[in-house]
Amino acid sequence: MLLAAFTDVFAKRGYQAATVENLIAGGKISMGSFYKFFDGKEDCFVQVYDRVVAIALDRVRLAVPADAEWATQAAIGTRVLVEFAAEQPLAAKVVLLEAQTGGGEALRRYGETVRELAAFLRRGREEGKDGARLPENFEDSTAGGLVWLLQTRLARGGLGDAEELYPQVAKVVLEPYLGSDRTQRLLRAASDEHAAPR
Amino acid sequence: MTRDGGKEGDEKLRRLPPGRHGLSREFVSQNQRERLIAGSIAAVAERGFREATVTDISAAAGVSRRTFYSYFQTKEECFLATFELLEETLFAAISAAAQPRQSWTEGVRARIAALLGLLEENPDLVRFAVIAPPAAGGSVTERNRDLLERLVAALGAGAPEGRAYSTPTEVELAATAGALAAVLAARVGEGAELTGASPELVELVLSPVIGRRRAAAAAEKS
Repeated sequence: MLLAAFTDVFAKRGYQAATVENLIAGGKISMGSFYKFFDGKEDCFVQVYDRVVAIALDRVRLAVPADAEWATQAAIGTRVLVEFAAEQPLAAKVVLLEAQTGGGEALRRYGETVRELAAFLRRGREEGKDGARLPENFEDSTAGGLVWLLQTRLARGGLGDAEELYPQVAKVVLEPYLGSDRTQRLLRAASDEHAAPR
Repeated sequence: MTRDGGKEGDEKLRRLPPGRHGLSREFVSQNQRERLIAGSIAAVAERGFREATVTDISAAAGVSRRTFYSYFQTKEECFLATFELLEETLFAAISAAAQPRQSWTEGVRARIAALLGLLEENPDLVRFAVIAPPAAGGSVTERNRDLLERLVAALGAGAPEGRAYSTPTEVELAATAGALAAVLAARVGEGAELTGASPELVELVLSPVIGRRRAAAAAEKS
């Protein structure tokens, strides 16, 4: 799995310091092979980035029932993404920390990811009556807050216990739209679902 | 902490006109260091931490490279000194803002107003301390995280005891810091004025403590 090996290199060395030599050593391929698939370091990074995001979103899609309402999607999605980042801190580092140091296309991808997160959150306004009173750019700042808290933990070693972290993150996501009580009930129900034998 | 709420520090951040002043060597020296600090803010605001060079910083400060090196061994050392002065200035302004007879929520509002007022006068401060750091990586990014989290703590400090007031969790504080960074970065990035962000920032800081409904009501008065 070439892209997995590259994820490792970018996460451990950092985007700036990583060289093509590092990448081919980590991927156990030749320079010639490398340049068949990638234009260079930046192109390689972008493909790694896209792969991590695709894997994460696939996991979310698999876990969320097809007819789920927004709040359920948000609760389950939060859990899946927190678990993913906890299990795969190097992949999470690449997307959440290294992309911003990459400049150019990498940074553009990152900006897009954050915007898409904000767009998903914005759908919460249709859910709860509280949604209407939120500031215009509320979801942009919430998205900023969510990535920040994951970035801080990743930069300082790791996400810690996903089971313990996920409900707190889900609160940040859901409470502005559902209010405190409904959020608690939803998280409890989602947690029972999750724990129940299939 | 200065009595005038950080204005002294703020003035240090403005560039002084170059030229002979007939001033004592010590005073000029102090100003040169401060000009370098102001120069580093301008250079980073324009080029980012990695791209900004000692030449850029010196030029922005109106001094020679030799002068730079008489104060700092590397640009990173200069950045560190700049963060230190910046923090001193910001925290002084925030602590001076809340008046003794105000309620806690009014105090939060006053602190946020003081912070935004200061940043409005020099948006390069936001570029230096908020927008540029994520691309830098390493100790600069770490410094920026630390600064923003301490800022959030300072803005919301001193909430009363009682059932109506919760202590924000570490996760909530981190989310607030990230949200604050996003709001400041977006406004400065768009060239929008900062003081208009006051209501949403007040709501952000108050929400984890008194709940969203009460926070929104308090924010409306901003």
